[in-house]
Amino acid sequence: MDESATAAPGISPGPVLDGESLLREMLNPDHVVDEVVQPSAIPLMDLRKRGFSVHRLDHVTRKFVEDSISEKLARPFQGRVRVSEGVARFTARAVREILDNGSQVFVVVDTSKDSNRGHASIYLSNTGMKDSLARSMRSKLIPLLENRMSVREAFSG
Amino acid sequence: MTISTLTSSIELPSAGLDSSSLMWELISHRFLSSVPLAQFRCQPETRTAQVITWEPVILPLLERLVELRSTPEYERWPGADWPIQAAFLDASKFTERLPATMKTTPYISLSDDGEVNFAWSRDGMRIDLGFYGSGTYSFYGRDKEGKEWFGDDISVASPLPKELAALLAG
Repeated sequence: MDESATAAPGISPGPVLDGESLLREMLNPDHVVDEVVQPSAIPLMDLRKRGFSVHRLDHVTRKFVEDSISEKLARPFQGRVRVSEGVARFTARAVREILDNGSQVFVVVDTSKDSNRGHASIYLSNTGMKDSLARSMRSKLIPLLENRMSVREAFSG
Repeated sequence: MTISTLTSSIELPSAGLDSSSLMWELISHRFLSSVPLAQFRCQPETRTAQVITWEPVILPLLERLVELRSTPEYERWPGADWPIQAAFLDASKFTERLPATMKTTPYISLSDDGEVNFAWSRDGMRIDLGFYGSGTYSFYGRDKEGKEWFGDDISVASPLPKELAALLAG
């Protein structure tokens, strides 16, 4: 995955800069249970292939994020209502600075599309690692998802 | 674990079904509401089902798996990969072999890539363990001092690795 590439010239804001803030929607019980971010919130397949989706704060509107969350909350789970845990906010730099034996573990790539120009994705730098190692790598990403706030707070400062 | 064979008024499908299929047949029929579904173990070779009294620490985990497996289609995320039946069965087999002395129990959840995930978390100790339906599981564990453990392609028929069992016993 090329961090310097632009996904959709003419639509995309361009490569994700280190200083950009990223947002990840967080739901209970899908991602957070009893204040603990679950490993299953970060599918290994996303890190390897599909991309772990985030919003680029500078290139998405508050309404877009709120509507996206509302759409998810409309679907119950196990007969119970889903609850929003807000959004996790962190910088692309924080993701890129996660190291393993001195090597960058994750890349942050512009994956904008017609329906969401502020879309970016996080991938493992080495997608061929064994599952156990991939699990240890996602454990390094989990602390970034613990810095959660309301959507309003995320867009206000 | 206490086992008694249940023989009364159960009509199991006649042929061509493995034990996992039979388990979900039983669930879909919900034929005996007085017994939690997680207490059934199917015996396809004799076309009977056993009722098992699990240790108190194990039964809620099996019930959780039954609950997740039974999630209606309309509650699932569009575009997400739902775990295949074998993943639930592997997770059940693994759960049956967890130590009854376990003091920290896992939170069981599903990931959008078809994984049934077991996550233990307590006082800086974390274990991330999962099943995709291959008959095996993988895990990553870390204790509060930062010591790490890794495991791949471990048969679900195997007991929990000693190092992980020790983490859960304390």
